[in-house]
Amino acid sequence: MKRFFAVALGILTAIGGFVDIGDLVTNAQVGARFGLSIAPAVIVGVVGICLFAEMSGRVAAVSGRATFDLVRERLGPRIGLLNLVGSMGVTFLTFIAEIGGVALSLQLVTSVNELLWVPFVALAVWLLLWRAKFSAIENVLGLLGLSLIVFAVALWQLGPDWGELAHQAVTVDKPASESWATWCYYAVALFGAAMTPYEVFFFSSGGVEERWTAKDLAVMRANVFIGFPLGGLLSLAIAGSAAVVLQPHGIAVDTLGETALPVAEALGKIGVAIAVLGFVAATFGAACETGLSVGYSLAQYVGAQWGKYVRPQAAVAFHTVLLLITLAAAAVLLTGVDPIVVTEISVVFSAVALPLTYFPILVIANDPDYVGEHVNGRVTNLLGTVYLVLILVAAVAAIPLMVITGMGQ
Amino acid sequence: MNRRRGGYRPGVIRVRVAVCCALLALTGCVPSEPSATDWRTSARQALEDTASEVETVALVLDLESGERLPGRSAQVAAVESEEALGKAEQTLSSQQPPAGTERDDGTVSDLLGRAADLVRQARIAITAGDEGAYDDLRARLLDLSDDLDAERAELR
Repeated sequence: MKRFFAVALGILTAIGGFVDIGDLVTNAQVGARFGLSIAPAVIVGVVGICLFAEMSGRVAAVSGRATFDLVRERLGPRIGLLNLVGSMGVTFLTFIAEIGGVALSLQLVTSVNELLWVPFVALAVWLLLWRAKFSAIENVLGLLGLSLIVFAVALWQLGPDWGELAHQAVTVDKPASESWATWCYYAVALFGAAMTPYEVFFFSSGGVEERWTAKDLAVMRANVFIGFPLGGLLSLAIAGSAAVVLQPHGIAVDTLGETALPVAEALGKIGVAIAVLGFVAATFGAACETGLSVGYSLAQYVGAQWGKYVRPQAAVAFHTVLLLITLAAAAVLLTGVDPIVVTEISVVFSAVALPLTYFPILVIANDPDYVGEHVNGRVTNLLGTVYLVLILVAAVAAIPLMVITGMGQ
Repeated sequence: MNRRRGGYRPGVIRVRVAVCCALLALTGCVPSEPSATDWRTSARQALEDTASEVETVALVLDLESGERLPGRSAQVAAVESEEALGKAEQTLSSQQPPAGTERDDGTVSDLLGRAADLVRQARIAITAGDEGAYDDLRARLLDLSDDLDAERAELR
């Protein structure tokens, strides 16, 4: 019974924790402009994150060490540093976007300007990272993030033409008013949002925090293979509801408030209140995850003690990094930069950093010195190789597409 | 013979610095002076962004009149649209309209001004809770949205 609850809780938190500011904004933007015609990018991204999260979780469970703890040791300091700079830079950018996302969510319900919320949100995030237990952060915010299921309910309540939505989702097409370059730009952005590097940083380091062993592999796989795809369905529900309500009006999503309008149309005040609760939980949870991920990756690279499973006094460097990045993120946001723009940039640069994150995972998950008999099978390696090619294509195309389309204009 | 220990003669360097400065001065001119094609692209973008915000406020008014938005979220949405309109208008107005686009510039400026004014009125009505004005404002916003789309098509 205890194991059943552990599996159920893991799946639920995986669903609730899957969506972050990048998924919220990008899926709503894409739904409002392209309908579900770019949905395959989300599906491909979700399959990819499942594949590599399982590998990194397996490495953590069997070796007792986080994947990126092993990168420097296995691939040398140069590749390790490249991996650290690329992936950590994007994760820090995402951290800024998530804190901004919490502030925007609070602005939505209070009408108090987001800039006034930023210091308080940053303080709350830091306090949670410093004082709260890892399981409390993961479970409470993950479960509250399930509020975003309201988008799936809203989509069902709106009564769309399901056949038309399904047709859009399986057909490679675009509205006449959009260009193929813009279509490709958003496909790469959605792919980057689904496979954002911090998810595997956090997943593998979280496995060490929770002291996974080889006995936990089944629970870990249930979380990944059930929780993540259901989280991906939430992303599609956000895009679908935007496609049904916003696209016919020609409304382009530039704010978090516009993301919630389809829920208001379908479910009224209570629906919006639940959606905003979901926004706050999802962005706050992701802020904690990205903040921890930056701390994890830096501490793991330099070989310092890290993690929430030791007292802060035993991991001073790790907690100092958490404090400094929180201050830096707040400082960036207080310049008045639009968190939505930061989000858009972070998902594109996520795509650029993908090879630096996922290539080392594939190498380590094939090394019997670390995972013993649990090395990748043939099918996993075949899929991993196919995905590395996809990831390379997305990484190479991301910045040229951003320039050509003027960030998707 | 032009090179001296792998470097360039000071005269060559001076010319290059002067060219760079001239290029920077030309490209950094305020207001910028785009070609007619570039100006039309910017104008279409401004009209599209404005139409999106106008439709957003119309939808917000509709939802607010049906009491489907909690707290002050309608007010926040209207303010955000108003700010976005200001940015769209400012981006275009900072460009010098090229010769031959005077009529289009006048029409586009007029439409952007009407949109800013109407959205402002909608924000005031929402903040004041003046529900009696919602239907009329919404109808005017939708009419304006049609005008914005028509002008955008005209500029193609």
